[in-house]
Amino acid sequence: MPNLRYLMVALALAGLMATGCSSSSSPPSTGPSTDGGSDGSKADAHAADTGVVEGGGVDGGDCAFADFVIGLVNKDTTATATPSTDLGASLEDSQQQSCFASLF
Amino acid sequence: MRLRTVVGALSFGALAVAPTLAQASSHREAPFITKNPKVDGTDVYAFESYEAGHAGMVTLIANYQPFQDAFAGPNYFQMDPDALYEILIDNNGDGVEDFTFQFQFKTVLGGTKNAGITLPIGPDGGQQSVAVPFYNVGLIPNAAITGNASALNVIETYSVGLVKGPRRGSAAKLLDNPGGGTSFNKPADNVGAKSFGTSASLGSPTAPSPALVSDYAAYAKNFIYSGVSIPGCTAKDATKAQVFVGQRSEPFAVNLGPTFDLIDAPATVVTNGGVAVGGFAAVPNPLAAKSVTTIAIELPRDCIVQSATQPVIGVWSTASVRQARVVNPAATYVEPSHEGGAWTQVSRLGNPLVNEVVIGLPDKDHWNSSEPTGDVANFGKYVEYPTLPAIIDVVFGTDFQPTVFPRTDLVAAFLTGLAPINAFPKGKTVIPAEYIHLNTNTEATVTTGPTPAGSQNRLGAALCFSEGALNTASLTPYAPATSCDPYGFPNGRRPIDDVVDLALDVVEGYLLPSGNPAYNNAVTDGGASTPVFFTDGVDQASVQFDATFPYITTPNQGANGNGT
Repeated sequence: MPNLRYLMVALALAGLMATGCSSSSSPPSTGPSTDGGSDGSKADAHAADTGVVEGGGVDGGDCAFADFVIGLVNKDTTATATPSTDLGASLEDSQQQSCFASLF
Repeated sequence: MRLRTVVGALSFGALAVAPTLAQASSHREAPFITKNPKVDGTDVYAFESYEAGHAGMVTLIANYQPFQDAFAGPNYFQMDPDALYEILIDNNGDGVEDFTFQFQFKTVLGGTKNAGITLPIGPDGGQQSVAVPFYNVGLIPNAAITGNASALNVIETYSVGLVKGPRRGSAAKLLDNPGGGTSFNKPADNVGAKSFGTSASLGSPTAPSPALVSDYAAYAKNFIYSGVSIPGCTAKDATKAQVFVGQRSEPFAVNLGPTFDLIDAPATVVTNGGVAVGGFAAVPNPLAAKSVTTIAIELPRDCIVQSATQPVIGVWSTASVRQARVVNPAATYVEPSHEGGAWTQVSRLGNPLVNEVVIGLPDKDHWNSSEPTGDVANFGKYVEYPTLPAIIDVVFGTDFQPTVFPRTDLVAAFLTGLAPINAFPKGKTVIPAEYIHLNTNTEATVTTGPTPAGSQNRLGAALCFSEGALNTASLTPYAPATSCDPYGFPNGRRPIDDVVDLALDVVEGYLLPSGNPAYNNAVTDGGASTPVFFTDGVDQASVQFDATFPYITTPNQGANGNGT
């Protein structure tokens, strides 16, 4: 029986890894900040209200940094957009390729 | 573990990294740009066109992709289709661009439906269509300006956009190709004599038969677009613009290795510059075998100046990439990475050598991402208190460093222009900004048109000044062969201008009225007037240039038609 429990735990972990992250199939609706003036280390009041942390990622989840990057990629790609001064340094990077699956 | 100081570098795959080479005018001059060689701006030139019959025209040239070896197949040197290359013009001295010419590139494969050239491989009845691995699989013809999709496997085109006002303030208006549409073609790189043919027979393919010169020069001329119109310009010459983008021979000359090896040359050579002495040509140009990719545009002066009475402009180049890049773990030719977001500047270049030998190492990447309006606040100390003269004194045990601080003479040379030749008229909105200052109507001052190619002085307009002031006698008439050539650096920059020697002379105090031991000025210091002219020992004028647009000449060929 102990072996079966170990197997179930292992399967659960594998499933979690296969799922990858919280929102890899669709980019976040809120893009990264472009107004600068922050090092991205603290969530502001607006972020607390909406669940979007400063840095642009969705609060929580293993794909926070990936979501931030996808937010940048899908931001405004016209000639008039200005770069984000927030580099997402406060966000956890799970380093999972699957977080970027929606791009390819 | 977080390594994301730059989001754009996010990588799950392998990013190609440039080879390790030394630096030059602005070649690989900052740490971050060494990771992005396709967007590395190397030199900017801005001058009144001196081609016969081109009075009233101004030529702007921005070079990219340094240290190209002609034999670097099979991929050679395409421009980055995910980048934005820009040439910017400020025509009122406020440090903000008033005109921005934007170049964006597209690369497709040759062959049917641009899927790549294929060959039928296998036995009759069982053949497979297999894509070839090469840049070209046959003679690249001269006649077809679009190249030949059946022989050329990599085809590059580009668009030219114009933004008036701040470059991110509005969308660009595309320039029309006089032949139709808004797409322009870029010539293939100079693969070699066999791929482009030669005027004579190819001869024996084995060395030591004589090397043959390919017909590349004639081929590339097909890609000079004349009669291009400037959107929104109603001046009489508004339809006479020219555009060219393509591989060219490296126009910059510098004694590169010794310069960065603690200036490893005898002091007697380094201090033997000037017009009459020969030390400036002591050694061959080590960059002679290299190539770059040139973006050149010739514009009617009346389309870009503030007014007929205010002809000074500031010119600089930039390159930008999308802010975010995600490397495709299953890369394809079309999408090896997915890039998006706002354009983010990674390369900036105005006057030569500024980021190279003036800006301190901690700020070089900052410089490349910056805009001229912040120059004084961000980088002013590097100009007013330069380190290069002190380093030269340490290396050679000399005492040439000027004693006047802050160095307002360098602010004038690099940030404001030299009155009355190429400085903006004083005004409330005119600020010091680091870019090439060009008087597009110098002939209004000196009565004669731009110095023709054969008469230009490699020391340019610097010799129109002495002891800190314009020597008006040198202008009437000016004598470029021996002294003053008002159409050259720092009044703009022409290909022949020896900016290395000039930069050395200027930082050592050539433009100072006093307090400059190297020049020991006779008038203000009571000295014997035995100036020291500095040189890197390589003669910029040894580089061959064309006398016609785009002036930068045919690139080196990758193979010589004789087995070498």
